[in-house]
Amino acid sequence: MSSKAKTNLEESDTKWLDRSIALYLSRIRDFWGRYRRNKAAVFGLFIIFFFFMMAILSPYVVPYDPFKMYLSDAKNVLLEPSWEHIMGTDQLARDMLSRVIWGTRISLFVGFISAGISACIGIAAGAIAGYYGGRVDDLLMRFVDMFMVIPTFFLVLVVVAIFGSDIWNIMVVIGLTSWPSTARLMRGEFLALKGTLFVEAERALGANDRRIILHCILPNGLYPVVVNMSLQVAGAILTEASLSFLGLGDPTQISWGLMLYHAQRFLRDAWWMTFFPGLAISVTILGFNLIGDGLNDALNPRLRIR
Amino acid sequence: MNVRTYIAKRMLQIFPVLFGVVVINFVIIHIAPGNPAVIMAGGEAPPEYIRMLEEEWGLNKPLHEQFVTYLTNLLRGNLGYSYKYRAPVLDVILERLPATLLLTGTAFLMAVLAGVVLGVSSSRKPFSFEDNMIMLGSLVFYSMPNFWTGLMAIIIFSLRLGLFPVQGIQFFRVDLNSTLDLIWHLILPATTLGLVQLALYARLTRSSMLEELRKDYIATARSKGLDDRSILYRHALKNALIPTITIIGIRLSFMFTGAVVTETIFAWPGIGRLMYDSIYTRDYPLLMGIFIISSAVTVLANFLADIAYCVVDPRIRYE
Repeated sequence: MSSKAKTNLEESDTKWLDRSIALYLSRIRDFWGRYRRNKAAVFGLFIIFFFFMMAILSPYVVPYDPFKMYLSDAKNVLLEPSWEHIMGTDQLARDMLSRVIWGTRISLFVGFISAGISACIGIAAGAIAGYYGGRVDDLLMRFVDMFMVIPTFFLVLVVVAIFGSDIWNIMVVIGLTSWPSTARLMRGEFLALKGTLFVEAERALGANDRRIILHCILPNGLYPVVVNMSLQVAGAILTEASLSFLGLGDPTQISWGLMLYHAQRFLRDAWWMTFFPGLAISVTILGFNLIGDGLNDALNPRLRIR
Repeated sequence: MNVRTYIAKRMLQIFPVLFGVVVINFVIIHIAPGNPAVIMAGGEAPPEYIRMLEEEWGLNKPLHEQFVTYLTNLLRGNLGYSYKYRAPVLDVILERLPATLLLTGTAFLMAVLAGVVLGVSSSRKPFSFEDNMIMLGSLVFYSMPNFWTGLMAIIIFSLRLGLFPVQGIQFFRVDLNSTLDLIWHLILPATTLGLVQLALYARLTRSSMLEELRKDYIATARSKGLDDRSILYRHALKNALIPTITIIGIRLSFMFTGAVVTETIFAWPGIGRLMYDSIYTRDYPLLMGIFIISSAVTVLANFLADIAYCVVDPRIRYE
């Protein structure tokens, strides 16, 4: 009986494939239509797209070699912004504009990898806790509560100070300390959806837990996680920048936080060394925050019924 | 459930959190590369000292016994010994804690008061010029990392305009002159630290105010002929504050996080600055002690926020 039900399920899957692709496309069009109405969110998307292109194309668009110290002429040190060096030069006569462009790479990389790690753990933990409930749920939620209260940045500092400030270390630690908010959101969705009729229907058709979790509840409950994701990326970028600013960044990379760390000694003589890398961080984070707002407006079903 | 039972129940939830923090620390000490005793000794400690530590913390015994020793030591207030300061970790931290509490407390008050007032005035006429300006401003400030805000504030207000001192205070003294001096030194770092939170609270207050202002009881208040001010502040704000208080409780730990960077920039002699220094001297016991103490402080603050919350809104108790 159950095997028959299963084959029915598979057959209907293939029949529906075309229709579901069409449905998917129309959903995306629908989503974009709603997203587009928030002008600020479109601007945010534009900002992030711009930085993304910079990160990919940085070897081709940098006006100077960002690593090279143009020390042949002592006059090149700490140059004010000019047409030749739009953002000036630093204490080792390196072009600031090129370094800011290059810094995009590490920031976005850390942002997406850390947020990805955190999303994977958070989704899995939240799904299990929400779906199965009971002891597992209690234990996981206690853990999540703990992480919501304690200053996790201090934990990141301790770990990076002891284990070293390799860029992979930093990304893993950020990912491992930032998943609880995702887990909490995911759990909430699972709790809300697991008792609904369409899940009951799927179960009556003979679907097992795995199928219900992965194909039934997860796609429907993913929207808060997606919204949260853009804030997580912003948070990870900020954490990496803070670490670098405290001198705990990966010294082999060019990062905006590290540039600010070096700029501290030249506050009086070279404001541009502080101004431009910080501006880059702020604009990036602004971009992700705007996207988060826009995604929330476009995806939140509570706001959709209007 | 009456208030007292609620408080008691809520208090019991503090312990698992603190226990978790202790476990995390213990795990870090043991999975760190190298000998746990070296980690617990910190940088440049002589070998005899490390052997003494092994004895004191039972580091050559089985793992579960070590954990018991670790836990009992912590419960006795022994967070380890800072070799660099030649003093128990707890003493070193407690000496610096008031400066941090003053800084974060001031920043917090400024952020809450200004944020709520801005949020309310923003909600009065949604999408008006005033509202748009406040929301744009808060979005921009929310996106600025506070180390950048701090550095730019020093460049503009201290170095260019000469209005404020560049560096922080050295110590506290209680007389009029030094209090004024303290306030003068406090303004820039507290503003730097509070700005991000202020922006967040303004946005939160606005959105929950807008939700409240749509409700029927506001229409009733309007039709009674009440003026705008008392509708906004006495009726709507009371209810609108509840979601804001929740977030404030959660965000307390972010205040501490911000304090590390802010204190570093302004040379403020608090535990943030202490943490920064201990990273450089590889004073791991101090570093971990700060993590434990700051977690305890935020857990406690969070507990107090919850109590305040339950006093403000009686519905919470019945959940």
